[in-house]
Amino acid sequence: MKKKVIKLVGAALLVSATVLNVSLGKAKKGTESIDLLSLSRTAQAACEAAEPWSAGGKCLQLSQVCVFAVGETDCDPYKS
Amino acid sequence: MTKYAYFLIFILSISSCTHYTIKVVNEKKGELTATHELVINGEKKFYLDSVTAPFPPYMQLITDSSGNQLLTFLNPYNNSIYFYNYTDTNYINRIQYYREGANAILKPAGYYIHNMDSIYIYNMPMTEIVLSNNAGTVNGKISLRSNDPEWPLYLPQYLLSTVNPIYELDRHLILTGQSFFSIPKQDLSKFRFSACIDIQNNQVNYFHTYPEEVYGKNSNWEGGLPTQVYPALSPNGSLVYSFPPSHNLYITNYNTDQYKKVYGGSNNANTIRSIDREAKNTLDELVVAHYLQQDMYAAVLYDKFRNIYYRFLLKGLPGATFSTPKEEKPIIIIIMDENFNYLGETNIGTGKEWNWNNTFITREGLNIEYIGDDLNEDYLTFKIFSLNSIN
Repeated sequence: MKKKVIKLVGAALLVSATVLNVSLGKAKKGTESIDLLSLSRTAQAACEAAEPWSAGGKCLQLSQVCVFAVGETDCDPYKS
Repeated sequence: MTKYAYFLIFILSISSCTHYTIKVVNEKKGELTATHELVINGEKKFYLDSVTAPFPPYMQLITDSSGNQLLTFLNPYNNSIYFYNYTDTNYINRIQYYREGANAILKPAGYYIHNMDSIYIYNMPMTEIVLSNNAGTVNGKISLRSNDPEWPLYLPQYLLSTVNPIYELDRHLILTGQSFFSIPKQDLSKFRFSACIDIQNNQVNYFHTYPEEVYGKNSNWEGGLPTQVYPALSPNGSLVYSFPPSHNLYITNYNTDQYKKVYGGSNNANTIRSIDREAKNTLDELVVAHYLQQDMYAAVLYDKFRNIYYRFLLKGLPGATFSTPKEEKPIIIIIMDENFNYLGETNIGTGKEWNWNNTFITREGLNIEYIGDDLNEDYLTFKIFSLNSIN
């Protein structure tokens, strides 16, 4: 009975490791497929991400830029 | 008594809602006759290195000491300015700026190359001009804001680009900034969007207000783009401003506040309306959809080789929603002579094919960054337009 439990745990670990490996591989492939153009666009579009903020900022949806704005806390114009 | 209370509430609700919808009518719509058009007659392709993408956010065309015309542009990915020979498209060199340490420039977002010892760089997060050189050394800083946390209410911010460059005029640097929000009626005559820096003593003065007939009456022009101002430099040193919602152009000197107004519109542009809501708390969905639906003018450029002006119009998409990409707006280029008389206009396609923010003029013609159907990220590509008479 004890051997059966050990076998079951071992099999579960093996399956978990395989699944983890596959998902990590996919994530890595996804990272590699980001091109420079996307990166430059992401830099422009990063204005929603910064937190905690050090200054009031508003993310302009049309320009995808974080600008200084009194009373707004959308984004941090120092970080994005 | 109850009736009186309802009446009072009605009056109060009307008086608290003091915004006004501006309608900017195109008085010459359908009345203009075209004699010229723009046609593509050339192409330039600049081979990019592995860390440079197309769509650089800023460019400046300069002439070196040997008389060569150089195309320079900003690579935000590695904080560098790249130099190419415009004529043969060969790469020359680049200047890299640091992000940390004594010579740090956190995020260059525009620059003006006076010469290789004096390169003025706009550092966007700090809202400052950094005086640097071709070794990447920081030699001085000029702040464009105050210590008051409420400075964005009364000082401009800057979204510089190839079509909104830093100009040098009479030993002054001119940066055309903007308010990113609608301007309350009481502040309209006080908010000046253009910074004028005396480069001999680093003194900063602000000039030029938004025209009341377009931006007045607490009108709602939220979103950042309707309040963007595009400058052009005329042959006599005057500044010509293009305000996106106006069919007119506004001419002024760099150090005065008075405007001369001239018509500079399209034969096909419709009446442009501000948002019919109070500016405060207008939802982003409405702001974006409104911008997409309206005709909006953009950059204005002076062509010293042909003595004409070009002005961009981004046509409205009547059925556009929040999720419509703004690149779907058709791009029309209006052509005017040196006295702003209408010569014609050309529809070049949409923002999916063209990055009109990267437009500049050379002897060869009007250079506009071309994206095309299948973007090749190895090259920065420009199509060159020239003027053609319509028979």
